[in-house]
Amino acid sequence: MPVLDAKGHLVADAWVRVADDAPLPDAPALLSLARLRAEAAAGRNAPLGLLLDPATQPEEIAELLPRLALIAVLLPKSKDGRAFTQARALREHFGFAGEIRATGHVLPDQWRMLQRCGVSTVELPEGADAAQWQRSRAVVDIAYQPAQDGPLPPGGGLGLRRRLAA
Amino acid sequence: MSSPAKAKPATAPMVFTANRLRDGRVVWLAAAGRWVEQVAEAAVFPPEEAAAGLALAQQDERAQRVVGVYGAEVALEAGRPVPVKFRERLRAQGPSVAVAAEPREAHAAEPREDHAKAEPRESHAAEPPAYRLAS
Amino acid sequence: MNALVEPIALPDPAFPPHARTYRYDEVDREFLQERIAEFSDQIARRLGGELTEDEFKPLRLMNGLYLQLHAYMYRIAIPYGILNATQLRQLAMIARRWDRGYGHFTTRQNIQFNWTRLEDVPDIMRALADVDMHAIQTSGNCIRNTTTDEYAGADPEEAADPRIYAEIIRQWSTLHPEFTWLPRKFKIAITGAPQDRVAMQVHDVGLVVKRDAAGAIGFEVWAGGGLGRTPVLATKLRDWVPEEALLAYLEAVLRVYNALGNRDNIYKARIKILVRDLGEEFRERVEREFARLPQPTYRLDPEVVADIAAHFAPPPFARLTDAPPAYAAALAGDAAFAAWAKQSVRAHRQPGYASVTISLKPIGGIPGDASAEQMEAVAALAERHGFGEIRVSHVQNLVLPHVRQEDLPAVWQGLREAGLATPNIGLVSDIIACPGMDYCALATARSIPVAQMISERFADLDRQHAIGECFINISGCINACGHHHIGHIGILGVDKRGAESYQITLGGSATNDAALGELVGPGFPYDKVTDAVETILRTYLAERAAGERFVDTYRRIGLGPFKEALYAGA
Repeated sequence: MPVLDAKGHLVADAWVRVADDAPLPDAPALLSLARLRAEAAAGRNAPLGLLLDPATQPEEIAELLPRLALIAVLLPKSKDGRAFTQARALREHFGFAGEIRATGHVLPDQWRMLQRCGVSTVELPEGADAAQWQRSRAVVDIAYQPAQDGPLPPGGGLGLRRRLAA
Repeated sequence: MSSPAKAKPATAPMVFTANRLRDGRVVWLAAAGRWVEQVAEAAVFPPEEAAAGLALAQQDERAQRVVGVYGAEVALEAGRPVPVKFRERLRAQGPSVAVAAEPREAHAAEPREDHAKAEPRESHAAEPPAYRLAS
Repeated sequence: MNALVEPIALPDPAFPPHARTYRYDEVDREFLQERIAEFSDQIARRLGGELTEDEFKPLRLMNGLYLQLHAYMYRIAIPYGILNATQLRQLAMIARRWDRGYGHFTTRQNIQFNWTRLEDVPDIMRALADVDMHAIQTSGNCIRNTTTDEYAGADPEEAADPRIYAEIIRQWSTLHPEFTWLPRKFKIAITGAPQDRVAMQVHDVGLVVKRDAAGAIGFEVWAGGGLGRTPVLATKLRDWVPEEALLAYLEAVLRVYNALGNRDNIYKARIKILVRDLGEEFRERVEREFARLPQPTYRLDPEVVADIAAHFAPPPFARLTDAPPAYAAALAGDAAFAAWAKQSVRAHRQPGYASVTISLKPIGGIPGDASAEQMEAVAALAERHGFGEIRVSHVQNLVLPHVRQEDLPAVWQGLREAGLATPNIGLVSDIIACPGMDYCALATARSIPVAQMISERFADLDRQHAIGECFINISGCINACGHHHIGHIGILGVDKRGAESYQITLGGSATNDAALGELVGPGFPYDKVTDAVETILRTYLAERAAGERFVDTYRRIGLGPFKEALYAGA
């Protein structure tokens, strides 16, 4: 499935989802938590990623983070927002600097908020309209609270408010 | 959405209702797949055809013309369907308390204003004004 | 597809200069225009078939749009229940132009219109934005309108001004990136007065703003209260959170809830269930999150507080003295005025001023409803006599917070002409009622006509005065929007084998002595519920000791005598 990058462009997905009983390919591999725990770290060069269950708290996987290049968070339904808190905790409490990818039933209208919580990319269904995602992301560019926004564009004297980067 | 609990297999004649997508008004499935605003004009499906009626109504939900399709049991009074359940009678007739009419100048096509006071209040002979003066 | 609207700089609306609402600047207005563009685009995608109802529903809900029994319902935010005369006039205009000439004030201090058309919503949003109003987060599983004391800034006993922090919470929670897709809705109430008028203990989070010995501001934080099918009183999490840590602490509470709240069962998804199930562990998790989050990032800057506090500075009060001759003469000379003043006029911190509560509970009327004409009448009175400021109370009345005592007779005359001078504040006909099955898709029974029948049964005001303070709250289903659990007399309408049946609870309270009512016995049919209320009140009158309110007598004698009176011989 295509992946929406931080600027709103659709790019090919280099990652392979690996079933728990399938052999590990010599390519970027996305694993379940059980499989990842069972997999020896030694002797592998290709990057590893984790399919993070919405019910798993980031502190439960803290010791695995140094091995991970990607964490896929999941919205089983668009209104199930646990991924927002997971992503924010991964960035804020554990300093995770790899890719956080939103998967599942994600709406264009959620993209800016996911980004503000630390999500880097979104896995989209085939045929998704990237233009709609770009429009939805761009439409509201003022926020009223701190988040994982990175350095903010200048604009002092705004109180709690801030202008978000394009 | 306004559909109540999941439908059981029908045992009484059924009509199908929904809210119109663009304005939310209550509509009823009528002959030839039309949606009408008066339950009296709704198509009545005998119990054995209720599933087919629901499927027909749901086509228009998938086509994004109506929202929240569900079936309501009716009795026939003078050949016209009348919902059995109190809730569905309220849905058909409008609130049982006084409501001002739909403003004509804004939406001239709306024919529901006669129904605002249709449900009699059991304990009072006459409807009180909505905004009775206090003193 | 509609092209997205380019944000434009809008002129300041012509607001009354001394009404203390938060004043938007160009940044706030730009944000609002962006949000209108976003929801207009979503509506266009829905009408064009690009969004299914399942996808659209959470988006429309967080913009205040429900689909009810007869139509869409549009709930407009009145932040912490404060608005100015220009805004109230605009609501009247909207009621007339796009609805049926009336609106319904809610227990969250908002207003809702019952006959909205989806295709009109973009126009209504623009009309609201013209007066710096919106419908953001008046529904949906997000942080809702924070409610506060309708006498804030006027109450003589207030320790600290809750409006400043209500506004800060409003801003912080607006389109919060992490807390817009919560397990369920989230309601915060804040009070700064020793007397709780915000039902703080039945909120997801209740805040008491107070001062320490040195005068510094801090917050008592409660969590996990709520009504609905599982009513729970809140648990105190902290006695003191310093002002600068307010947002950090709220972040911590919300994060624990968002991560661990129930996502499988809508009836177990509110924070009250999590707090109850986790017990002490809930507090520990909040404290752990609070301790590890980067405090500087979330620190509430005193300069920000000062900037927002400036919006709520006292209006330019005149130097007056209490009980001016004109007021004293009217009290002495006009029994009708005196009866109204006894119920509706409240002491003010500023000598020579008073707060006026406007009853939206005329005998036989619909609790909380106001016609467009009534809204305009209140707006005019507020401009003439009250700095142009109006409050909405959580019991569905309006308040003019700052009125000169010498103007009270004129205010009363004006209210009388508008049908708004029923002297029943705090009495048995000052009823909270949800819309019930007359409007609501979820309801299992009607509420409004029950309120009307009770109100008419006790229409005699002398009788209401003889009964004294008694709060009757009516809900049309178990979701408890009519707050029946915390009414002195609570009435819950349910469906009993296809007929409306009304269960009665006694002894609830939402104030400092917060308590949940106890079920008195089997339910009553629609046409017997008024008789049951009358029997309960007759029992109280027969049993009460000197000076007791209904709820005092109930607490002293318990359910027994009421049960006996209601069901003996049944």
